[in-house]
Amino acid sequence: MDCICTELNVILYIEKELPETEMLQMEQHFAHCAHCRHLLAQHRMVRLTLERASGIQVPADFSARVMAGLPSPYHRFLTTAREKIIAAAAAIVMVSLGVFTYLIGSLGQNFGSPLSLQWWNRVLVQTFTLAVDTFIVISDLVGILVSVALFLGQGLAFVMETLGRLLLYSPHGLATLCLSLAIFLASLSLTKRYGHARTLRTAQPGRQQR
Amino acid sequence: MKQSPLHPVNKSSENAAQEFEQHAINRVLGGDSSAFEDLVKRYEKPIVNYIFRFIQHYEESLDISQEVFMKAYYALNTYNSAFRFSTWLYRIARNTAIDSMRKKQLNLRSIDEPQTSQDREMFYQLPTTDASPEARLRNREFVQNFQEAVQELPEEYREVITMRHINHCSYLEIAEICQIPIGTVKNRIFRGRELLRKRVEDKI
Repeated sequence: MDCICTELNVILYIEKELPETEMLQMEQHFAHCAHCRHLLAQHRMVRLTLERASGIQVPADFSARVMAGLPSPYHRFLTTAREKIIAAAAAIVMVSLGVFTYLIGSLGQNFGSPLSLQWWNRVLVQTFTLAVDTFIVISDLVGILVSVALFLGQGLAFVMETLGRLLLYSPHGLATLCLSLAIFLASLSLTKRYGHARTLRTAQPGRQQR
Repeated sequence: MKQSPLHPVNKSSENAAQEFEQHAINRVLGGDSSAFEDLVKRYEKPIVNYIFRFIQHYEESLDISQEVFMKAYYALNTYNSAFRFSTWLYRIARNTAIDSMRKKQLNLRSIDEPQTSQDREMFYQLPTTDASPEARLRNREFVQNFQEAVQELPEEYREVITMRHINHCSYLEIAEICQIPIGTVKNRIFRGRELLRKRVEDKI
């Protein structure tokens, strides 16, 4: 039998996914091929049965069950940029107030009335001292980080130097160097390719198109 | 073809549906939790059906669907309205179903085991109509064989066929939910239908 109707073509014909010329060819073929007409009828039946299937039924109280498990009202925490800025500003104000009241509290006992010039002078000195101390702590932390980075840098330089000596002074040094570079570039391009694909897939879950 | 209110072909009704959903989401985010029930009612059947295709256990599917809606509720503030809500919800459903299968190592039910739950029968319920084009559609035995054939399909085919023909999702939407190319979606649907036809023919 010389049939142009593969099973896939029959399905594509039903779904009207074939080019117009092939649709016409199929129609002409169905007119005189009983085998393909039978196949067409069966696939139409499968499609119709699938379309008419209403699926499994859901209990009438399902949505009530879901709703019973939810808190009310809706709980959310710092979801928008505006809310985050307001929260950060509020936190800064609270910390400033805390520091200020601490200074007032500690100084109030030793320097008498806050209305005196001496009291305010002392508050300014204390505040400045606190700011300097904070700066010193931050500088120390940065210093530690820089030291660690330098240490790592030195280690890396040592490794590179050793590697360089090995490559240049060994009999096949240049070839090994070229091979290493090729492997490095290949792995870089592969990482870029698959990393990009993964990012795209996760970043676009369902645009509003049909 | 029967139209689902979830995925109407008509563009204006589709926009209206999206507006309705967005309105409900805004109400929930504004503090009116009861508006979430509108979304649950709209999607409960497609989601339960979708999960059932993975789990093949009715009560378990209901529990997982409930979990899906809870997750959606708590993550609603992360939903980006530039995208379709149904796609977002299906993605949650898919991940939850797969996680659940991994965690619980569910034993899939035998297809010979009757799928009943206390007081009701489940699965396909073909509407009876006098204008039925095929006498076989009225035949209970045929319906039973057909649903068995659907259950026997490999999971990757069963998933896309359910989404396409029962939940009436577009090819693009299925591709986005399953994270596969649109060509693969079509291929799986058509291949699944080929298998379905052969199995139905074998059974009858």
